[in-house]
Amino acid sequence: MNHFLVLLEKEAREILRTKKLLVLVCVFLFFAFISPLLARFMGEFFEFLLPAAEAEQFMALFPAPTWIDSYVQFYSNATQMGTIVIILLFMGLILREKRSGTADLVFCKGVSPASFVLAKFTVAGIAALLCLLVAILINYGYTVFLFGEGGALGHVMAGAGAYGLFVLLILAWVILASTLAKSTGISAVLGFMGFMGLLALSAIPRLGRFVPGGLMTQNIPLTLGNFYPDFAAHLGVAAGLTAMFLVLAVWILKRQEL
Amino acid sequence: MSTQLLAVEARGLTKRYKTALAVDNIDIAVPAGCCCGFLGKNGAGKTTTLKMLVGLKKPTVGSISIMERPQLFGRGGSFGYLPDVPNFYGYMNGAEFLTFCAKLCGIPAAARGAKVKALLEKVGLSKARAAISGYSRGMKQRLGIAQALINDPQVIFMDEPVSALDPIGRRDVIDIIHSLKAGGDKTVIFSTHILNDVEEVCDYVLIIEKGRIMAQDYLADLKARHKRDEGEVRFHDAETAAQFAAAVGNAPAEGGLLAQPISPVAFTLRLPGADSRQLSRHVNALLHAHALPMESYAAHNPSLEDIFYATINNEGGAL
Repeated sequence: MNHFLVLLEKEAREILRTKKLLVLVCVFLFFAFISPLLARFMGEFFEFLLPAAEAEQFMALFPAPTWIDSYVQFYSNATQMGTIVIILLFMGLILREKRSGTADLVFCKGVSPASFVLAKFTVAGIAALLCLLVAILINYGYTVFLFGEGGALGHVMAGAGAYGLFVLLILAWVILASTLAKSTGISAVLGFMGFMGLLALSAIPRLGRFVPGGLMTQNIPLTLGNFYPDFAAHLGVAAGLTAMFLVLAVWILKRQEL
Repeated sequence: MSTQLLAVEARGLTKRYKTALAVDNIDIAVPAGCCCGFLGKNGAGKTTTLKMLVGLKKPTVGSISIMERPQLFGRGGSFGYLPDVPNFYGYMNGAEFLTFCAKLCGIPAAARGAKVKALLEKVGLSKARAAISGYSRGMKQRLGIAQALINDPQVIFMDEPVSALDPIGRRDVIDIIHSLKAGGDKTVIFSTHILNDVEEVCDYVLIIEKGRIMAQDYLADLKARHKRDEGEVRFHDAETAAQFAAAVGNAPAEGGLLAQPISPVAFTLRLPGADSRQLSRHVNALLHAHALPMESYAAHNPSLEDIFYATINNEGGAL
């Protein structure tokens, strides 16, 4: 059994037993169930809370909800809160092992930094993508149930896939930050700075074309089947940055003393 | 030139940090098959040296070989290593962690279960089913030894394996080291500042002080080199002791016996130019001549503690 497979098995056991997967599943399932409900019943909710006259004025301001609002709610929750939860859950992946000394035991047995980093990325990535997949399918089914339609499933998956790729990019960045940082606090700050930095850079008109922030902000057009102009560029840049962050993490870890 | 197989050899090993020289150009040669105590005060450079030997720290200068194979920074090896404060994945139990280590070491699936079971029995953890997060410090230390032995290594490094353990835990670990030594085919190198443990279990000693190796040799040879021809005589009462002192003082012709009082009833004795047997004979004759009954007489053999203090206080350099 090669080192990568052994570490993959260990990481899978870790994410299950330390309840990280449970937290991730709960967070994304919550978004999956709450988003269609909020979209469908937001009007009724205000009608119930506000006096009749004000409620009438309020309802007049907003058009009747459609199935699209269900995805708007889902992505506004998942891409913000979901990404923050992912950063918080995985920000100590490398750092914790270095600080506790478990990395000493593993590396003394001839494990390469590449196997060590890639096993962590693979398991965290699969867990996050699985949670996202289950959540978007539930969101889709619930949307169909509440609105009578939920869009083309292929397009829905494209919207989720774009965000999934963004999640992998963030995970790679978090792993790099965790390799560089000497404390959990610094690791967390670096993780959030990367996330905010990507969003800020993608808002700059010319530069934004090459910064893959659109993968988490353009999910609704994708869900509607509209592939925005920079989509392909964002996919390529996200994949490239993900690989670069992982290679950098391995390169740094190889040179670090424990 | 010796042709003895060296389990660990380091040449010109140096570790310099920005503001400090932690290890200063040391040479180490530990023969295969011995149990080596690596002695030094806190901060003397033991952990840094061990971490360089196992490839976890990069030497600023110097080369390392383990069983005559070059050991490079960042590469593991077929040796076993127990860190000073071993930590494990708290969500696993002992058997799961050892199985994980066995897989990393490439032990075939068919042999894995028996190997893990045997090691857990060897370190007294076969009945521990709980997660490692619930282990005591002593249990973790024993599990650390088990993981260091998982691939049946020829060389085992242990960093302070008995520090911070209670007397029972310490005894357990020392007994495990005894059993490793009894096999005769393994080299155990363990750092400590508990001299009694080294004296009990080790046959080879390295002494480090301020990053420099001050002594390295077989313990028996070190003791022979530090042997002093001295003895200690003890009397039942101070009156007899005073009579003895007077007898020594009144008998310069006796050959220059020197008696240094160490208590009201005891003296350290030395006879310049005489070995311990001649000294004993000389003291017996003197006591007999003056009819002085003694309580006990013992020749002085240097303890490891004597050697350690003499070595680290030696301003002239390495012994």
